[in-house]
Amino acid sequence: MKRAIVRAFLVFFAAWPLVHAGLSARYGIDPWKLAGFGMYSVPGAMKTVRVMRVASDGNFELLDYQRYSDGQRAIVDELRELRRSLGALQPLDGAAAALLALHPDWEGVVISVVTLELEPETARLDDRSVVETFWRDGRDEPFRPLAPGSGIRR
Amino acid sequence: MSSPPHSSLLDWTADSVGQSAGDHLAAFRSLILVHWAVQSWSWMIADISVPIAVGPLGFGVFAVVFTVCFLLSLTRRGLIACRVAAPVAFLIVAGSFPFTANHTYLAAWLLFLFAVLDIGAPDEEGLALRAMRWMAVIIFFWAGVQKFSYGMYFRGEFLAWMIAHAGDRWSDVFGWLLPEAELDRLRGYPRYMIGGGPYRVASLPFLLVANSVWIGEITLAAGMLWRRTREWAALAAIALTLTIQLAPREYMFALLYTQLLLLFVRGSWNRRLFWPFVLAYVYLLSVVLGAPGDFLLKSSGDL
Repeated sequence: MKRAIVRAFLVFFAAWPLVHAGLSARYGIDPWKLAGFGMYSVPGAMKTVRVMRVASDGNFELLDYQRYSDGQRAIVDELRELRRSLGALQPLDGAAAALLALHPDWEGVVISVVTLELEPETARLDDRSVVETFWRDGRDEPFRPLAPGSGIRR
Repeated sequence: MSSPPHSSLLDWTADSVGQSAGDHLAAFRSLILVHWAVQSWSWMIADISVPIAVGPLGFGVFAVVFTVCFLLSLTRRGLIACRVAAPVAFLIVAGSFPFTANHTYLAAWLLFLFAVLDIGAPDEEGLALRAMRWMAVIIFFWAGVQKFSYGMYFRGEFLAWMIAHAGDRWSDVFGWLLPEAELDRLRGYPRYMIGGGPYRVASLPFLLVANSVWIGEITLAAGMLWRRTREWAALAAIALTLTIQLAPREYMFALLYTQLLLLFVRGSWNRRLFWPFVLAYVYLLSVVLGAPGDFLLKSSGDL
């Protein structure tokens, strides 16, 4: 019985890094975390979370991290750290719901997660962004600014 | 002494018939408990990088439990000590998920094996030794394979990045392999500038060292499986681990992994070096308390 337990454990222990590498490639989980033993393979995950509030009249504002309230900062910091470890396996909707609950006057919120990575081909820093919009009424459509071409301010 | 046939993969890491590793494993078991005790005390004292929201009081309770278990392990109650300590260790792992450090997982799994297996029983002693040796091989193998697969060592990219942005300690360990102009170039790149770089160098000594890391990890993992090369491979793996860990100052991991690798070396070295290891742990903890030796702490001020 104990031999079987040890064997099962070692099979898991040996196979997990392969699964971890797959999850890292597919979802961007951190090679330094979750016992994949990929630490020191790449620089640690560099993530930034940006939040834009959307008012009912369509006006929008990219929030300045330096001027976040304590509540906003706690939500965004937690999301950033979770995304650093779990990558896309950590959805954005929980943080969005928390922000909308914190601000009843917001019609919607746009969350962008920017990932900086060292590209192996160029050995230069590159960025990738994931942008998702969450509306208070639950509709599933991206935010489109009223002014054409203005896009999301960084 | 005769060599047993390899009846299963698990037996590849077995010793020759007749060799006993009981005292070696017993010493390692106590060292794992010291590791947990010191780590918990440091979390309580430093209140930095605290992995689970129990506060200093909670960590104080954990630290007392691990310390008592360590003392218990010095008697004939080592198995009970591990069975008490293991659930606490897994509580910490679960509470800190997904931010748990890899060496914390490793320390928890080793404690799990010591809680399951009675190393006082001859058949379980051998099973524990083989399993823990396999863990060392697997970690080294995958660490090397991942460095290869991410491709950040072929032209020194990862080390160049760390020298540029991870503080002087990486420069101290690896920077001397680079010409001054290359060091200045790397340090001149703003850390978060998109398009910044290239973090790539042409210095041959630097590239040899960078690539010897992943090649060494994969080769030494294989070497630890072959009985004739096992001991030398383990000793080389210890040297490689300690050299690499000088840069990030991950001395808790370095101590733990060194003890794990010593299981490949004949002569019960974990027992012989038991008190020096304990003293090393205690000194690391005393540095957290303010004793001289800030250079032993990570940049976060933690162990």
